[in-house]
Amino acid sequence: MPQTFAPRHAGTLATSVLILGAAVVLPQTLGLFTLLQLTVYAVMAILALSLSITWGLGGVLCFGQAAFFGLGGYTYAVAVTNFGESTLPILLAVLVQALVALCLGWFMFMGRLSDLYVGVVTLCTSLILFNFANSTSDPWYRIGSAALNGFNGMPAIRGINIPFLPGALLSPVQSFVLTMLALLAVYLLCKTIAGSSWGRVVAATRQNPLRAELMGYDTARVKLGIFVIGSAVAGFAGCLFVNWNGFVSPDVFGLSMSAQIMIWMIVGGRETFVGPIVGAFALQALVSRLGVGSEINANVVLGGLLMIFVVLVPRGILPTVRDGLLSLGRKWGPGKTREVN
Amino acid sequence: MLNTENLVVRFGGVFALGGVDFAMTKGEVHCLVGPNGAGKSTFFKVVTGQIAPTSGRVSLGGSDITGEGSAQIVRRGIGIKMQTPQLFDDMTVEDTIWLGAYRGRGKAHARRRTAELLDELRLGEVARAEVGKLAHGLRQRVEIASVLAGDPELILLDEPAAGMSDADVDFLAALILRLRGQHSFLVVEHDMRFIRMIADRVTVFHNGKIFLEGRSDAVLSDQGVKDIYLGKGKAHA
Repeated sequence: MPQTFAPRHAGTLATSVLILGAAVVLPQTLGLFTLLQLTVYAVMAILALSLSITWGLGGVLCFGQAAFFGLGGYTYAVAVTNFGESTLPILLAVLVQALVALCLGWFMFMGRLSDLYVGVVTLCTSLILFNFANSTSDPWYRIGSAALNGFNGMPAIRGINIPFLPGALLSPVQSFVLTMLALLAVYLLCKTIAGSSWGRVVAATRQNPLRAELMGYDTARVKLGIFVIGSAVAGFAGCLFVNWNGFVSPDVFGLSMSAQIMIWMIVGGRETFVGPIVGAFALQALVSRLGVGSEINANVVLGGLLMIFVVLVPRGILPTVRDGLLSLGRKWGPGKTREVN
Repeated sequence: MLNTENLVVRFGGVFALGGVDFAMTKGEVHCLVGPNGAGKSTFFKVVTGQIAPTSGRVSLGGSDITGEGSAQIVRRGIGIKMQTPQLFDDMTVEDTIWLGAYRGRGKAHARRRTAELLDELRLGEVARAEVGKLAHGLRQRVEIASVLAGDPELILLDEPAAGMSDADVDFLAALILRLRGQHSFLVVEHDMRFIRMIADRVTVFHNGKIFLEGRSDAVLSDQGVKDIYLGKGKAHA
């Protein structure tokens, strides 16, 4: 399995141009309904990238990425309801998740929990939050002027405005552009981390923690660092989701949410950063199509797809297609071929 | 340089090490030998921080390092090569060596040191190859290069000649002899030809204790040591 996280500028540039082009061109060509759909796909692609940082790059199998996604959503919802302005709430959605991940990760990684138990702890965290959020129906559960409302969720959440201008709320089209730019920024963040010296240490820790330790690297701190970054990005995705939805409920902490993120990654290909983006867009489009007909349960289809990919295409779409193209290039190409992203 | 005092390791009711007092001086190449189950690998694991001793003390340059983890011990200036090569299979040879050199010293140093070691260990031709695709002998060499990249004072090698061809063993022996002025070496090994080539001193382990210690030629020609290796060691237990 090649070291596919190494930066390849051509692939990064092509992906960036594609995302940026979509942000500029699609609002001119697509209807509002489609743009709204693409906005939530892009939000989920950011969420997929957050797990790509934690699991794909860092090797930390986090079964509870929805915990940070949901907390990000709730943090934004509570803060924006109290402040009446979105700039600080967006920052809080990221920072609070980083802090929560720091506390949780400190116990997990400094306590030298095995990978399996890290998965169990993160999953349980998500389920605890799901149950807790469901049990906050009593009016006592409010933070400032924001009532949590239990299983009914928090309705009519203010959207994102132009920084420090509370009256200048973004339109749905502007929200689409913002979300696509956020996706681009997170993608470039991923590539920057992977291409940095620290990113090499992270990759080394993922591949062989014992050798990384024998080189003197503190692997617990490395894992903690990547876990915090991935969780903060998930919090950011949660904030964008609430901006799109105008509503947040305990479902954001649900098991199916955590499972979906993993399926997007596995189908798209967790060795790359483009793979999870492709997986998130493609599978959400598929689920939306299935939802229209409603004859087939979308979760059953997702489960079936997961099994098919785990057995037949374990590396996911993108790495498999890339390797296929490379082997064709080697077979028929004039000389040496280089890898594509 | 490296000392242990009354080092005891007990697994349940079994003593893997039964009170080992060991000392090696700076600049020497010191080999640990003994039949399987003699306690040398357990001793290696205690010294490298992989298992904590039941009792006793390990010190490096006068500082107590008993019970410290591997990463802490490495940061004190010890390089460790395991019996089974521990490498990053998806990484290239040069990235692996770079990682060994990078910690605490920065990119410029890592780049320079990587280039030096690729040359010194004759790994230039496979510099861009993935480590996981290399033959065993080359993997051993890559791991040794990554250990040397950290410029440790003391290098601990667990069976570095295992699975290597004679030519590779000769190359490794020449390398160790060339580097003995800059580093000290503690080597766990079974290959007597290799030990004869490199060792200043040899310590023989038997039944979790030190059976004999001394200059390599004297120890390796000792009849008691030969008996241990030939399975006649009960008389010496």
